Amino acid sequence: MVDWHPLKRWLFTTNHKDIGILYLLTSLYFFVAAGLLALTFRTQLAIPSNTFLQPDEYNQAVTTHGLLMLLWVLTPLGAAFANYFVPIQIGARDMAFPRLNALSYWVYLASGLLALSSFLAGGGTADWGWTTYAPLNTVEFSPAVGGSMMGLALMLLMASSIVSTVNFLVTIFRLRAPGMSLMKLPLFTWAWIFTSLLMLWAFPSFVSALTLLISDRTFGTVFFTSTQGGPLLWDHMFWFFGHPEVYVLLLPGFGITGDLLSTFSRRPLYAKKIIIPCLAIASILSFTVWAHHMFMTGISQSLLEAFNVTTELISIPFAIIVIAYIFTLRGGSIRFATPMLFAVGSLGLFIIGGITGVFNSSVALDTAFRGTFWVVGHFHYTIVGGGLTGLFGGLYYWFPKITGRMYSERLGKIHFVVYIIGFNLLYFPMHLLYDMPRRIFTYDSSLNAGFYIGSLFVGYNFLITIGAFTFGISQLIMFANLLWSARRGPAANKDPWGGYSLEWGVPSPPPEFNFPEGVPVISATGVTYRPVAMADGGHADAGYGAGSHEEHWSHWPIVVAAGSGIALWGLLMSLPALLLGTGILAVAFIGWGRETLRGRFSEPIEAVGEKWPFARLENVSLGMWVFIFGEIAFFGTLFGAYVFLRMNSLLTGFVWPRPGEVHNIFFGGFNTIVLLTSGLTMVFALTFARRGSYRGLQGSLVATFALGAFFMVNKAFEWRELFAGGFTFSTNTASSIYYVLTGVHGAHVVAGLTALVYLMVKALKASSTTQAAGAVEIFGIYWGMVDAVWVFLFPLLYLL
Amino acid sequence: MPALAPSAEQWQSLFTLYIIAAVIVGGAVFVMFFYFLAKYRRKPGTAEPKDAPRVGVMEDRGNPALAAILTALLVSLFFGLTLNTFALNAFLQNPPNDPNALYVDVIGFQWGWRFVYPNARELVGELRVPVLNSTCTPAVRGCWSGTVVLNITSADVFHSFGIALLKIKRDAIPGRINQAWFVAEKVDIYPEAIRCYELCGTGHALMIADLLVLSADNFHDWYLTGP
Amino acid sequence: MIDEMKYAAVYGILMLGLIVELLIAVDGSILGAFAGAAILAIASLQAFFIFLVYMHGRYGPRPVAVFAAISLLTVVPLFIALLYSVVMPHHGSLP
Repeated sequence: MVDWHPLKRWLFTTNHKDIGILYLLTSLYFFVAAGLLALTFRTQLAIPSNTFLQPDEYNQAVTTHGLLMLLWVLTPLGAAFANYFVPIQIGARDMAFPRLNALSYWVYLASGLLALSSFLAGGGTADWGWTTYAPLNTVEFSPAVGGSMMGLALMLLMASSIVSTVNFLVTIFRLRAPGMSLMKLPLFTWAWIFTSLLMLWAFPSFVSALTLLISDRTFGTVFFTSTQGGPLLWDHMFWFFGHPEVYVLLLPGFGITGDLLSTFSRRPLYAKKIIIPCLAIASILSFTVWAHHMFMTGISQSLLEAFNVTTELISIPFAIIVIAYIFTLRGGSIRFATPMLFAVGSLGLFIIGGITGVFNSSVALDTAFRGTFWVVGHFHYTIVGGGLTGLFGGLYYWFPKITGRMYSERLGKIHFVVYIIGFNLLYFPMHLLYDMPRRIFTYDSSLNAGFYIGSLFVGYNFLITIGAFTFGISQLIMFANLLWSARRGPAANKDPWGGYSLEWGVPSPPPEFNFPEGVPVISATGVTYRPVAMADGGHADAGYGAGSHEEHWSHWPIVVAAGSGIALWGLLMSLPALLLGTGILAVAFIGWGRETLRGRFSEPIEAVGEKWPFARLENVSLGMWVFIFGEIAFFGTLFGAYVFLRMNSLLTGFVWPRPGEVHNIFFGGFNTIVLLTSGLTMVFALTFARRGSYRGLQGSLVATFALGAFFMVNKAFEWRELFAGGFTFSTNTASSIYYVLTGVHGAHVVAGLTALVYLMVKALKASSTTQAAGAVEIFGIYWGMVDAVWVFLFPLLYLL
Repeated sequence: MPALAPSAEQWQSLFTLYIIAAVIVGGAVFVMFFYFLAKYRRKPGTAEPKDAPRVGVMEDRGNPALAAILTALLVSLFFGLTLNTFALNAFLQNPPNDPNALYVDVIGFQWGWRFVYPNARELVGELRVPVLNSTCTPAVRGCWSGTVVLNITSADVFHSFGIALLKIKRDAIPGRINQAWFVAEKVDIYPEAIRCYELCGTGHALMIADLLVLSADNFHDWYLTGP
Repeated sequence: MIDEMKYAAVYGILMLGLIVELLIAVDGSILGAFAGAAILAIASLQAFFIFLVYMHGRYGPRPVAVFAAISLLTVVPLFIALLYSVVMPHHGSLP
């Protein structure tokens, strides 16, 4: 690599490979933390009536084990490999937005630290299960501030994910090398495409649910304490996210498994052209099955029976993929290296998990399974068995590429054997405990199912605990192996496995800019490399591989992350910290903006430099659109909450305010005119920019800013009047949803006004007005969305 | 195991059906999987397959008919399983129209179960019910048929009411009343048969109640000596 | 000038829609039960125009419309299920 000072490199890097390593190390750290939490509660559950953990400690342990593993380990581990290898696999030099990439990592780390600090927040952390059901999640039943802190940590993590999703989708769709059609992409990158799309559409539902929850806990709204909202509102919103989330967890590892099976059996993947559409169908169907988590809630049986059917249907694309994976082996010459062992393990364990999933699709069988260890067994077989096992296979597979050294194959095989034994000892007996409730801190002998060896009684719980320790210890073998081999292992060549994807054609480890020989050009006969001169004057002989180091570091991502972490912590714990964090954020945003205006990170990542500046602008434009679709899902689920609350009010006898009863609809209408006029001035700004009219551009931008600010002033006035009239956050569900919807929309307006300031400065500095047009157009897309959301908010809240 | 209730028997039959399907399908898949792993392992000295992937080159392979065949097979399997599931579901969801049924309000709270009988008699931690009495048909009055209908709700947070032995479960949600029903076929005491199945705070493990199935006379005597 | 006219025309449609919505809200008794639906229909139309004209951007309406359709496909089941679960009969009752 480059001879930078290590501190500068690791704190400020924007190189996707370095960021991949950061994600890898951090996710493995959280893996150990969450794993240790599991060992504490498995110790508690090893024998009946144990006193190793107090009930509240136990509840905190199971909750944080779940949250950390799902959100701070599994997906980030997938992201580690995605960051490192997706750009190489598509033939690019880096991600489309390198600074945003660094930002995603640092914000992920900040959110993880915020989550861990919630243990120390006095009163302990969230203890309500990762599913966070209402009303246990409300302040009335869980007053500890640690719970709110965990909620904020989750929101921060979601922000990191959204940025990451935008980055990957733009990168994969826009930065592929010549000849790299979408179909030619390896299964891991395809899996990451679907993972990103799922995150884009599902995570916003979690964000909305968390918004409502944090609003209840911090501002006193009544979403989850009222009868119109209450438990089922959370249930629907959470599981609408929660079910696609499990495929987010599964797909990266499952995709790696496909590539491994093909590589190590030395045969092409069977029916890749069927596997990819199956992944697509499964992804879409994943949004239609969530209520199988609600089979016992007493809602409409015909609705639940429909979900029974959709849940069965989703197993079909996965079954096709499983059979295609098995057929891949046929006619092969299988080499059982460690990555292949883990791939085989991943597939086998997933098959078992998938089969128990069909049991769970049955609305009638669920009367036994719901809330028991059967469910725990099922999801660990699929997520840990299918997902994590595949990811570990990936770790061994890519270890020689990342480090340039080979791990010990012998230790790898030992790890696999102990892993598989430990896994099955740990999770299989759970299926025999379908009478035992889950998340109980202790049990007595009547629940202690087991068997006799002679006269010795062995409880299944005891076996499970043995399995847990075995499984945990097996990972130490891997850590020892990899840590030692990274320094002392034998040198690895560029392609120890005979791989298909492009990373196996570059040195181990890859040089800073990935492809030292030039642009990879893919054809039916393989890959050739075409040296190309870069627009920034990079060396022709190093071709595609050249570029200045200026592209690969920036101060601002880590500073933004630090500011947001401190601000959110301060929001709950300390006003000075909140102000400090906000100040840091302001400095960081200004610094970031100035860095951009100075021209850094404006070079295109693609080789064909002649397209500048349009190539880069098109990437930003696509990025904005991807972001907009996340916003549609976010506001869509908030509107969904509104619909639920409103419909429920009919049934619970709560009379929703009539139009005009609470809100002044003409004032609201006036404010609507103000906002929509700002939309008009914004599009005029674009026409002026394109025509090169400097004064027209500046005037329109100023007008847009003024109108937007006026809208916010009016809103503040309205809020003040409403408060004075007794319509506050906690008055009723109508007031709660009004304040949250207008508040969230208002926050989007304020963010837009901030960006508008940047735009006005850019227009001032731009060497040509037409150059500014690109940025104006992209902001215009965002501003149009803000208008479009309001166009629905106004009638919903004022007129209906 | 002797039957305790029709709900348990029918659940067991359905479960067995799914197990048989799982073993057959899972077994076939695993046999094929392990067979391929064994048969196609690398034999030293033999050349690599001609279409072995190399950097940038992976040939097309596979018969798209696979998808159609598997879909047809699975849809048929699921059709059969689902019909049976829906039949059991209809049974479990619909209490019989029985004038001699016992209606009990079940209130979950942090942390226990309260049972309120039609005559306002209350029990905490214990559910007493009459056993199945086949002679007590709807035409006859003044007897307990053994049908028990539970109106389940919660006084505070989201709980879930379950009697594992009878395969009965329903969430106990504040602000809602959910109904479940059963008929117990055998007089007996089932200690700790009733538990909570949704995390509801630090006492979740302690939300336990006993189930007492009494003969019609014993139940009637107990029922009348209150409140 | 063509672009400006297009935008001004859309603006006019938005304002017109707003006025009609306000009229219905103030006195929509003729429409009765359909008043709410009518207002939402107008709002949808307004959003549609903003989306297609103000937000057309570099990629034009078509790929955007595809994305929008997929977004709706995923959010619509949520809406339907929410409505259905609230409105359809279930066992037991609300107190």
